[in-house]
Order: sequence, then structure tokens, then C-alpha cells
Amino acid sequence: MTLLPFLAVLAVTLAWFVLPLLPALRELLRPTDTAPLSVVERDAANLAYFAERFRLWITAQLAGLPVEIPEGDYYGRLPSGTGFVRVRNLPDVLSRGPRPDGAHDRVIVTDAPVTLAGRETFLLEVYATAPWTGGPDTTLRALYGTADVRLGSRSTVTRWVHADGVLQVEDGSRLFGRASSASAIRLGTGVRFERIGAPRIEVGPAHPRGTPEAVERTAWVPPERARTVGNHLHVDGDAELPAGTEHRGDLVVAGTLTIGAEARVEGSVKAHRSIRVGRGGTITGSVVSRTTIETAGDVAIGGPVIAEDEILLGEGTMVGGPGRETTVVAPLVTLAPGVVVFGQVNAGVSGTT
Amino acid sequence: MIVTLLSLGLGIVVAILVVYTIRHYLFTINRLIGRHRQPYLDIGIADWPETVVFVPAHNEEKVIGGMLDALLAAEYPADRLRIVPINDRSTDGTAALVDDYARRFPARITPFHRSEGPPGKAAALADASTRFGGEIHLVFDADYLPGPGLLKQLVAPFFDPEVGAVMGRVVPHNLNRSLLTRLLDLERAGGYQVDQQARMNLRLVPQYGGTVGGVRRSALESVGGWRADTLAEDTDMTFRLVLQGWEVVYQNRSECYEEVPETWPTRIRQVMRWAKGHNQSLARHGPALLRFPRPVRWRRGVDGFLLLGVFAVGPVLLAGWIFALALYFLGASLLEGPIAVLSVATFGTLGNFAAFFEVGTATRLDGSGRRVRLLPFLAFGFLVNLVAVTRATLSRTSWIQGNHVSWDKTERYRETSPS
Repeated sequence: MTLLPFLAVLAVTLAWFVLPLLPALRELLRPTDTAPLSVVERDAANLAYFAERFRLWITAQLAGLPVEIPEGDYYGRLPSGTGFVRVRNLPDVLSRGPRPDGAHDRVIVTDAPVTLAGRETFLLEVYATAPWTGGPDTTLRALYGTADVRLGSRSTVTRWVHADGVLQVEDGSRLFGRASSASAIRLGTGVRFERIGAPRIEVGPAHPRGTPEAVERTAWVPPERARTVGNHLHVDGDAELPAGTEHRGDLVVAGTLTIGAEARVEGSVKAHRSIRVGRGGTITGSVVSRTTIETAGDVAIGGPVIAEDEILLGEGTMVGGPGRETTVVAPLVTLAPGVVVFGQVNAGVSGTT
Repeated sequence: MIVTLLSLGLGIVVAILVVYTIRHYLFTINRLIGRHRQPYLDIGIADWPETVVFVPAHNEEKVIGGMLDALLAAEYPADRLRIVPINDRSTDGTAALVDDYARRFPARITPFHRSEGPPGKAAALADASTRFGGEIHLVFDADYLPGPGLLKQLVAPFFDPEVGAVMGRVVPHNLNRSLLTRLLDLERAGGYQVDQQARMNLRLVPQYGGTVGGVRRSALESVGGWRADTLAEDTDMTFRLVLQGWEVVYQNRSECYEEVPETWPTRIRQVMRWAKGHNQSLARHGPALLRFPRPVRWRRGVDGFLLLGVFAVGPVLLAGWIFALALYFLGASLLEGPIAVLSVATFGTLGNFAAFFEVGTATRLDGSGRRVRLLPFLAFGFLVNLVAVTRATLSRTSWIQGNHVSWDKTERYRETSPS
């Protein structure tokens, strides 16, 4: 009789212990989630990845169409069942879509140069095999152009845009997702973007660049608190390279780093706080900051530019070079007119021109 | 007198366990609400430096072919990548297999055969790394399966001139084989997705883990190269770099598949090796960290010390249980408070609170669904680890420097190389 409370407590304790094991036992005996975690694959660094995948898909779909498809403009369905419009002769068919709100809800395939009036909305992908010239206020889900592509002012791309030719984006446009070109991207002012990539990315009108003059520079004298760590010089606190000085080798600064006008670093620089580069400054390697990087005009940077908060590239700043493509990456990126980047600009939160 | 001593011991144990519990919670909360730092991951295009990938191998004929195939398929400029399988006195078909690859890809694969010198991964790396150039030295174990973009991701942080070492994330590939592999999958998730990434976020000391990562050659040389007399050359390298002023970077999205142990004896041997190596590093670098030298300062010093001490917690926990039981049977009723705290803390250390929270958070961040149901079983895995770690910690090898080190090879299970 006296054992009863003890047994009751024991039973409750065991039940309490076993309770969390019930779903565990179920998962053990009848596994439902045993696939390895999927790891990041090829889409991470290749900005044109989705565009390339779409091109493969659409060319396969077009190749699967019946041969008796009539010449001229054609409304139909791809073998996958997706509705599409093939524009060969009359770009006018794109002026207004079939939906009540005027939007196009079919895949668009253009075989002839297209110039749009503007304000169109394309809810599915566009595949342009001839030059595409968009009007203002156009909204596109995604566009692949095998030739030049021009997006009119205040256009919006919601997923990706790629041009095998030149991709020109006029003022006030918004590029969500990825924008890429196999040739060049030219951005107007007030363009917002996330990830853009091309052998050459230019902002605004061409910036006049003269032949660089030979500048006499004096060797920078590091502060006494600097110490050598491996192959770089480490400075505790702030550091400044005065105008017209030069430093050879990598430099790491625990505070803020100021590189004066026409100063030059033959190597990479990093600061735990902000970096400011004066007009005409040159860094042949990478520039890395835990906060912000700001360049004045006509700065040249050879390697990646990486900031954990913000990057502001001043007028005429050049990053990378022909055949030496590189990356600019920060949550916030602002590119002034005349900036040229050879490679990619990745703005985690927002990029602006 | 005995009660006083036991009480003091118990108080110290409780303090240590509470510190580790708080540490687990801080890291987990950081991963839930903190800022995610991965500043180098989006470097997709650059002038990639010359890189050498070392693959230390001792009797790895089952898996090394898959590894070499994966490296040959890597999206890294072929003229800047040298693949160096290090065959360290293998007695199976590893040497022939590696030589066959070298014959087929002479411009890309340069095998390095070792037949003398001290054995072991650390010694193999110490020997091979001095014979090859390249700015960056990456290291992969032979059973890993890197994806095509992984090498660029692992090299990208080295554009930061302060970065001395980089570590990617290890993801179990064979988790459907047994309860153990599934528990290891959960453990790895907690360790990488939460623990390592939180240390990265908080600018503490992420650990270079000896595979799926690499070092800058100039950094390696500046700290005197790989040490051949350690069981955990990765932990040792991490702290030598940090103490000299280099940064170690962890990249959570630089993921690579590995084959985890499928049997408990193999797992126990692995844990014991790690524990001994970690404890060696604790003895070597712990005092220096707690002097908070200029490159380290107090935050990284404390974090580094706690990281080095994780494998010493097992015996501490056991000691706490013994103290608590002894005090109980000695009738020390005044110690109910500390005993209660200890029971909570040890429960947490075993996983129901802090570590469970960490693993559960990791599975949520991974979006990995129903595998989290196995979480209660982790308590049993932790108990096994506790015994293994305690045995290792109490062994002489854990604390004596310059021991004879040999290959303590993890058994491989793969039948054929995956395509």
C-alpha cells in the first residue's frame, strides 16, 4: 500500500522522460528527413546563372514546336504548356497585353528588333533575339537579350535581366535580383540595383580620363606603433598616408585609414573602421573595411572592394581593369557618375547610382 | 573539512558550467537575432591567386578518387590551381590511384609520396607545404566532396590582407546510414551553423578545422609552418595565427560534404583524438591567451580559452556529479542551492537546454525539417562523448608536449566513388 505513491511518481517520471522520445522514436523507426542538406551550387557567383538556365529551357521549348507554325506574329503554347507570343513582324502586338490590366501573361519571344512605347508589364520572361528597346515605366519579370538591351527610364526588373550585348539602363530604373551582360552595362542616374555584373560597368556619361601623369611620390613613414605581421604592416589606431606618398606592401589599420590625394599603395589595405581615399589615390590590391569605404574622384583600385556597411565610389573611380575583373561588395553601394567597375557589384541591401 | 573542500570544488564546477551554458545561449541568440557576417562570400570575380590544394591521405583508396574528380571539376582557373594528394605511406591502392590521376592530368595533379619522417596528417602537411609555392594552401581530407564553386569561395577571404586562415562548413553526406550518423548531422549543424558562425559574427575566434579550409602561405610561414608533433594541427594553427595577429574567417555558406563515422567505436576514437589534440593546444596556448596580448585583447582571449577548454569540460562535469553525490550522502543540506544550480547547468550542458537550443536553432536556420525530432537522442550521444572525452583528457597524451603522433585514421565506408 505504501509503495503505491512511489510507483505512481515513478510512472509519471518515466512517462515524462519518455514523452520527448516519442517523436524521436517515430523519426528513427520511420525516417522522413534523411537527405543531406543541399549545399550552395553554381548559382552563387555566376550572375547570369538563371538567365543561362532560361535560355537553355526556352531554346529547347522553341525547338520542340511543330514545324507548321505560321510566319509572322504567333500566339500559342510551348511544349511545356506555357502560353507564349512570338513576335516576328509587328512589335505593336506588345503594346498592350491580353489581361484586363493590359499586362502580358505569356512568355514573349522576339525575333525582330523591338521598340516599345512604354508602360508595358510583362509577367513572364522575355526572350529577345534581336535588339530590345524598352520605353519608360516598363515592368519586366525577366529578360534575356541575345543582342543589345535598353531599358527605358523608370523601368523595373523584378528577377533578372541579361544581355549578350550592351545592357543600357536609363535613369530611375530599379533592378531587383541580378543584371548581367557579356559585354557592358551602362547605368543612368538614380538607378537602384542589387547584383550587377559585366566586363565593364559604367555609370552616367563617360568620364574624361587623361593620360595619367607621372607623379613624384615620397615613401610613407609608418607610425612608430606599426608592427610587421607576416607580410603586412599592422598599425594600431588610425593611420594616414599624406597626399603624394607611397607605401609598398599590404597595410592593416586597427582604426580609420585615410589615403591622401595622389597617394599610392602598392598592395592591399584594410581598416577596422572606415577608409577614405583622396582624389587620384591608387591602391593596386584590394580595399577592405569593417565599416565604410569612400573614394573621392579619379581613384583607381586594382582588386576587390569589400565593406561590411557601405561603399561610396566617387566620380571617375575605376575598380579593376580590362582583363582584370573584380568585385565590389557591401550591403549599401553608391556609384557616382563616371564610375567604372570591371566585373561585379554586389549590394546586399541596395545599390544606387 | 571534507565538506568544505567538496563544496569549494562544486562551486568551481558550477561556475565553469554556468559560463559554458551562457556561452551557448549567447551564440544561439546571436544566430537568431544578430547580424550575419559573411563579407567575402559574394566575391564572384577576381584575379584569383595561385592556390595549392593538399589532400593528405593514408590508405584512402575508397574515397580519394572521388575527391580528385571533384577538385578537377572545380571552377577555379586551371593555370592557378595545383592539386597535391599527399600519400603518406599507404599500404592499399592509394599510391597507384594517385599516380594514375597524375599521369592523366600531369598539368594539374602533382602527387607527393611520403615514406619516411614522422607519420600523421600534421607531419604530412608540414613536409609537403614547404615544397610547394602558391599564395594560398587549401586542405581537404580525402573523403570530402567539394562542389564546383567551393574553392573560389574559400580563397575569396584572402583578399583581406589580415586573414590568415579560412574555414568552410562541413555537411554530412551519409546521414541516412544509422542513428549515429543522424546525430552527428545534428551535432555538425549546431557546431557550424550556430557556434562557428556566431563566433564569426561576434568577431571572436572561429576555428580553422583542418579541412574545407586553408591558410595563407605567408601566414603559415610567419608562425613557423605546420607543427608535426600535435594531434590537432588545425586547432594549433588557429591559435598560433590568432596570437600573432592574423584573423581566422568562417564562411557558413562554403559547404562541403563529408563522410561521418557510421559506428560508435570509430566515433569514440575520433572524439578521443580531437579531445587530446584540443587539450594539447589548451596547454600550449591557453596561458598566452589569458595574458590578453595586443592582437587578441580580452574578448577574443576569453573566447579562445573557452573554445580550447571545451573538451576539458567533460571531466569537470563528472567531477561535479561526484562532488554533488558525495555532499548529498554526507548530509550537507546547506548545499541544496548549488546542487540545484549544478543539476540545471549540467542538464543544460548535456543538451536539454543550451546545446539543445543551439542544435534546434541550427536545424531551423537550415530549414532542415523533421530531423530535429531526433534531438532527445542527442543526450545519449553526449553521454558517450562525455566518457570518451574524459578518458582522453585523463590520458597522458592530452597534456604532454611533443608526443609521438601517428595516423589515427577514421574508417571509410564508401563502396564506390560517387560520380
